[in-house]
Amino acid sequence: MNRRRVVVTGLGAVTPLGDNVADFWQRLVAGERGIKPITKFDPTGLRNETAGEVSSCEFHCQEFGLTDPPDEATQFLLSAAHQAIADADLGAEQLTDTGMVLATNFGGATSWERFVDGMIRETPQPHHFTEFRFDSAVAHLRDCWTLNGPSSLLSIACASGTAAVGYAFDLIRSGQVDIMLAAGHDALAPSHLAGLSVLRTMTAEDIRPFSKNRSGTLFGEGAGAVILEEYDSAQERGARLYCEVAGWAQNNNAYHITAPDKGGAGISRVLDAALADAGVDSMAIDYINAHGTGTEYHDPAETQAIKTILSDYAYEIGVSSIKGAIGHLMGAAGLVEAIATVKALQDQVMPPTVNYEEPDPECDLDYVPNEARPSSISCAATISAGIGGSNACVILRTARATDPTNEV
Amino acid sequence: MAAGREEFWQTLAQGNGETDRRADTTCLRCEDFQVADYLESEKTYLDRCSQFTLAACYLAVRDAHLDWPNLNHPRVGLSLGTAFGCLDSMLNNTARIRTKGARLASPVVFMHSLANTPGSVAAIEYNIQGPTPTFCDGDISAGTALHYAEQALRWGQVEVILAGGVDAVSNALGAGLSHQANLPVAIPAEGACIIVMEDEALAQKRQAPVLAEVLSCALAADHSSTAARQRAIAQAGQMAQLDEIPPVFEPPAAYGHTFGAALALDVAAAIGTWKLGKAVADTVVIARTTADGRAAAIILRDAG
Repeated sequence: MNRRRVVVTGLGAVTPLGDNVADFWQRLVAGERGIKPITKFDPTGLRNETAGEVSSCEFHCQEFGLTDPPDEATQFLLSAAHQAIADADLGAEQLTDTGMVLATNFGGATSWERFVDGMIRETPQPHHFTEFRFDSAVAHLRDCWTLNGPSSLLSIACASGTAAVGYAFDLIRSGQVDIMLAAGHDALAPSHLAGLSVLRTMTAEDIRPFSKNRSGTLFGEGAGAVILEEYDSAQERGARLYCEVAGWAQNNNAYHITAPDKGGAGISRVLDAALADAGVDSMAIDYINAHGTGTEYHDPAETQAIKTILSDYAYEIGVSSIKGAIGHLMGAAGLVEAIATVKALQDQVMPPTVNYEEPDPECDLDYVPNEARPSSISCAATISAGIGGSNACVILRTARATDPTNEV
Repeated sequence: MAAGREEFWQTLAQGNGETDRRADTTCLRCEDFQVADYLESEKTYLDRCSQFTLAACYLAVRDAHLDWPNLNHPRVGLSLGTAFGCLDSMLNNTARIRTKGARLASPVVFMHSLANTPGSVAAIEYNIQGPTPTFCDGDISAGTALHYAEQALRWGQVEVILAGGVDAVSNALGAGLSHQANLPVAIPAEGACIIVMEDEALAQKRQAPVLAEVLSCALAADHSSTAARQRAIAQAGQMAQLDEIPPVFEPPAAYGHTFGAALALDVAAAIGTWKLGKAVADTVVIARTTADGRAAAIILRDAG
């Protein structure tokens, strides 16, 4: 197949560190944390009563042509998509043929809980079910912007967002569409937090990615959205090119439904495959935005995977997790982490792994502890892994006038 | 109505779908289904969607005569579509937490309630180490899954990929879809259909029993379902570089409306018409739409 180049031209984010990319990035780089006591529902019974809530997102139905507010997760999504579309300066003419790949773990979770409450009372409301449906987010986005390109919704747990970027990238490079929106969203809700709590992926303490005293992850909510475009058409319309998407891969550990394989074999294979797809040598990677959940088993497995592919060179680059700052944003995680990686490339700064306290012999890379670090970054990887064993990795690099894969 | 392609085709050929047998039925369940018939190891808890997926994967792999243990498993994938996922387990999980509190949530029920659980348990059961995406795109879910699978093969990301869809009927689904103006005309039904897709050269090399060639897959959207369908079919024709759009395959009503599995079952049914000598053409378009104006179209050619 002919390979077309794909660039990132727009960003949008709703996160626990702010409801736009500028605030999110500024506060992330400043080492701030968005994890606080849960206020949106009674957290009694959860292993941890803190999370990364979105507190600053004001949603106005009329701005999106709606009469009734959609599910909260969809509100985050619409807000992030609106920002990304505006940031890319896309007009109605371009949007008509634009496609989308969305990502979520839990869909309209709040609406689902209302529906189940109705089931328990034997008075279920079908409109709650409609709002819960995963594909209702696609319908809302199409209603708002008349996006008539290919559209889809992916759900592979916490790797969903990264895979959404990859699938959108495939659709452009194969020539099926010129512009794609890739977006991920999820909202905190008691029922899925309770499930994650009893699985004991959630810590009873604080989230400390890659730190020896780590004891689990904490969750958050929000949405991330990026606009991907075919390189030539983006150049032609004078779009700002944040960076280029060079390649990606997705795979499965085929090991256990919740536990990572301890040697990180699946993550090493996905990183290796993404580098091969991008035509990028492992020693060209300057920064890795890791999944870094802060769980006992995941962090050493991911560390081992990176060392397996990068060998000793792994010790020469920065590897950071932003989950210590915002929590694990579930279906939005991969997108928001991709945005952090794009901004790292743009500003030449590695975001820090905040709340890093104690070195661990099993996690012995440079995790950019607690303080952002200016650095020369021309190529970066962002890695995600999820319940069910799915892994995904996207390779990003600075957008250059010539295609680096054609250079000898 | 059937387990396995021969039984499915024969039932279709005889016009004996469940809809014909039970005129008063409100939905079609796979009444006699037992997942234990398809698994070597005991599974303590599986949502019905996961059960259907495991069984369909087993049947598809067996049917394709793949030397499964000796495949290059990192290059084997599973692309699955489901409109509603593990709705029964989701309902159990949420109802338990809403009535008993967060502390009494069940980790087993929770981890078997995710949309990607069927694909995940199949990946573990069959050692599928390549991509395993799950698409939740309503009635075109299997179409997206097949589209992804075709792309993954074309990009060399996989050598073999299982693709299709699954959905199960449940009380929650019935309650959720009641009063909806856009309910499908066909009766709601459950089941799974998995299709083994391979690189043509590799399939020929191993002398595989090739059933059909996928010429193209397209996804599109428009202001209405009808317009989206036309657009998807036109795009599929363009991608297949065909001078004329082939006839559109009309899915039989016999297997009801299986939501996320529908388009994969249509593919299986179309292949059945060739194998049973009842086809109208050797190349057909198979298309499905969603109520919100999206469509998937696949052009399929009889492999003879």
